[in-house]
Amino acid sequence: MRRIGYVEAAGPHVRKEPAPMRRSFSSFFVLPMRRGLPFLAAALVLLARGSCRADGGAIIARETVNGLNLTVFAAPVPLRAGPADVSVLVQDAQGQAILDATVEIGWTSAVPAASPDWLPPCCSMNTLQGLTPALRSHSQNKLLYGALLPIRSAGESEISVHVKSPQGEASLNIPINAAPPRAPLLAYWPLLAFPPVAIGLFAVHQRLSRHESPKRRQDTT
Amino acid sequence: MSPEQAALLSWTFEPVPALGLLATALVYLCGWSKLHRQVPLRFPVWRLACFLGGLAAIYVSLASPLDAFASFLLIAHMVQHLLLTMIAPPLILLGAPQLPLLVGLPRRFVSQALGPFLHWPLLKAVLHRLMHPALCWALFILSNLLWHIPALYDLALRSPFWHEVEHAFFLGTAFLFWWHVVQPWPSRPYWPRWATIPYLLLADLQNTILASFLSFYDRVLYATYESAPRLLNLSPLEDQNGAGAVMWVPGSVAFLIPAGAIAIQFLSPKRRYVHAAPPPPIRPSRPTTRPPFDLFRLPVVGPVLRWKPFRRVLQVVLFALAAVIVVDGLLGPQISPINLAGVLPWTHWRAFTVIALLAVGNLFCMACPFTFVRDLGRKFLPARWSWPQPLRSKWIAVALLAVYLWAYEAFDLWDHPAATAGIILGYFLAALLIDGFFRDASFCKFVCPVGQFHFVQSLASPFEIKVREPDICARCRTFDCIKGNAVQRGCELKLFQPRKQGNMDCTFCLDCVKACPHDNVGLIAVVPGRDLVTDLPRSSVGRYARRPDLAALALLLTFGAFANAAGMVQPVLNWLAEIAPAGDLPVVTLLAVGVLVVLPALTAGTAAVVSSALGGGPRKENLCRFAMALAPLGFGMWLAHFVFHFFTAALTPIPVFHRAAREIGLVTGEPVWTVPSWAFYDLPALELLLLDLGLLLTLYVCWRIARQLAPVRTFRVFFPWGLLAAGLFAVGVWIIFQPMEMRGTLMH
Repeated sequence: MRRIGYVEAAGPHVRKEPAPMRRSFSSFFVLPMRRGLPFLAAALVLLARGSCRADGGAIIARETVNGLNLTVFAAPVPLRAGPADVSVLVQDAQGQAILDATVEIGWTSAVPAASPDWLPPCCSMNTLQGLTPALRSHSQNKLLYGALLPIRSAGESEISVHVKSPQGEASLNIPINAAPPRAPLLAYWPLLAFPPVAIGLFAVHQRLSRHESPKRRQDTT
Repeated sequence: MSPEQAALLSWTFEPVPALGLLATALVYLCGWSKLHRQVPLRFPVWRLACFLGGLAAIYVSLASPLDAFASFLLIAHMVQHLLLTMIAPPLILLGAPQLPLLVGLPRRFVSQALGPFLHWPLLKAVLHRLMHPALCWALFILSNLLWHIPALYDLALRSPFWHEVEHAFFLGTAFLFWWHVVQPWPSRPYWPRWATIPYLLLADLQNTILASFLSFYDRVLYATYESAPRLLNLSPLEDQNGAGAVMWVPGSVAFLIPAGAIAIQFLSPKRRYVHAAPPPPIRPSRPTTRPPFDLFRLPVVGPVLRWKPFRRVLQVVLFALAAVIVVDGLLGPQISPINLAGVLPWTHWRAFTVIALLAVGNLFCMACPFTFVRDLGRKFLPARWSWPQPLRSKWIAVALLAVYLWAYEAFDLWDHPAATAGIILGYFLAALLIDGFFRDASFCKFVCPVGQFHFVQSLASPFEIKVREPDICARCRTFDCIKGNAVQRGCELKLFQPRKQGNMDCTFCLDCVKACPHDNVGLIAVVPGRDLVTDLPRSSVGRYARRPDLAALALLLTFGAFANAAGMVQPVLNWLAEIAPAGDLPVVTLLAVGVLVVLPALTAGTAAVVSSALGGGPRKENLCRFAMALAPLGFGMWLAHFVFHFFTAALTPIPVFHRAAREIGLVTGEPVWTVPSWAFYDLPALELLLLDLGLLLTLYVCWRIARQLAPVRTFRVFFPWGLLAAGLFAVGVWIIFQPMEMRGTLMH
């Protein structure tokens, strides 16, 4: 019969046996079971991260134009040079969300910058000044029209929103003051922190293994 | 589509949590099924249902419309938080997840990787204090109260990062709180069971106070909801009051049900099992030694890979592609972004081969078009001489690789389609002549720079052509895998399967697989980099410690990875333009010699000298073994570099093929040169991840080698090489953060 460490596992009818001299796999781990919870919690929390996001971040404009209520959200908060998650809610006068509109958003710098403060990972990405279609499929909230809008310069600039819908057309120019872009080291800190953390854990692991080995040798002798 | 339908479709797919939760579920399922077989009473089906239900509750709270509408409706946000704090944690804990998760993980990983942590005294002490019921209760209540303070709540609504932090707090403290209520087996209670009743009732009291405040307060607490557009016919205050009711009623029920159940359990007489039927005996577990994963055993992939003409088909396809590239390179327009010779070899072929190396192994050599031509040529050429003994090393290939890396920068090979075509033709000719006159695969083994690149990078690949059962080989007397037989030639690279180790010099030609009469050679999963750790004598390769030519090859390819990528970033190009305005050949040559020869020799030589001096041992062995260990880091850099080009220019061959086809009259119409890019804003994150993995594998291999060379002074032996790897990694990070030239594309 395979021993599983805690004899209760088999139910109350199984006769309790003396613990084996050599610890079996399960007994090796059943004892520290209580310590498994924080690992489980940490794992689930880590898995949960990255998913909870609110479309659009903060409201940067809310206006009624030609009978259309436009609410524009933008993230990050505060806005900074780099890709901005911009989403638009279009509602009619009664507050009903309009889902068949064509929405375009664009960014224009107030002062043409000689050299941009932020560059995309590759210049092939659509980062030229112009209008970008905002689509409902780009948003988690399917009532919103969303797009990633590259903001290439810090300082004063403008986000423009153009809406065409059966209920009418509307345009909105929203002045913004974008902060400088995040330094790459800050923007990608989790990936830069990953090797040192892994090395630290490995160092602890090696130290613990070294301490454990003589103990095990003693146990077996 | 109505707004209601659109709202209900507002689900999102976030790969990290979705795949992570799925992986957790699979690990649990695997462990549970084993335990269910052995102790069905302890692990009944309802535990599995509870655990999976808990994971599903987490996913629903994070990916469903609840999350999409959390910043519009406080009610939706409240339901989301209730799922995270009241539903998911108790359900998961009812699944008694600790043992199934540990049993579900690979046994070796649990015993060797997790084991020391689980027995760490410091961790035990910290967790013992953290798990005290009073502290768990206080943390849960504190988290609940703090995150409902308007400033913090609005912060979480504005910022995705703080929203994640808020959810992490809710989930983490809820696990701590519910642990003492559920008491998942085999944990032992801190307090008597009856104490759980006041534990729950006091928590409910706090919940009631907070919920009643939200329900009856006559002003809107959270500014975000006050300014949010109204999607339902609910005013912000009505929404807030409704959220309070949700918190109050279902929240209280979640506390009161377990309190009632525990009270009933506590007051009931103890159950006696005297007359109960005996439980089934514990069943022995299945034998745990499973054969390793073999790609040839997969249902569809295996037969296709082992289909005899499969390699020939691949070779013919690549040969046809090479022929098209050569013709277009020589006769087509000499503008690289619109010529197949400017696009396919430098961007796509290189990317596909490194991705194949990462996913499987040396698939390019398997499909090599040069060996196809060589095989054709051997029908007319003698192929009977032996490759000269003094040349039986990698030094020729090292020199050719260095020349190639220099020529690439010095003559902008990527920008000259005719030169690219010339190189390919030269390659075909070299393969034909060398293997046409010399026996076996002398070209592949001793000359081919492309082959050497793949041999070295495949040391970090996850698959290996390997013997399945060593015992069968021990009984074999025909040695068909190396000698061949009447219908199938044996290994031309002289790798004797029973003594073969790792992927060095293996072209994945599968000759040994087809020749083996016992069907005992597989394409078997291995731990990446494992071959670098051990240094047993390998068939036809020997010990790495005695192969300075292999060490030089690994160093050249590692430093070459960084030099090749650095040559495309703007600051380096600007600097080059300053010091050599007209592309001065002597300057570029000097730089190439410095970066590809002097720098590796100097840094690796110094590391070997210091490492040997600190830890003892011969310098040559130190240099040879640690130099090989740098290969995974170089592979990480090649991957990061080529993956970048692949994503930015993935679709560029389409209009180029269109142009080429139009020129020979196969199609009409103008090619559309503006093709979308597959690049995404987080592309640098992917590149960094690949570089991270390369660094970690290199450091791990270095550590293992250091332990073998100096079991006592391990760190001293490791340190100089670890420092060198860290330095190269820092250079790689800097390169990734620089704007990179768009070579071979029309993008500027």
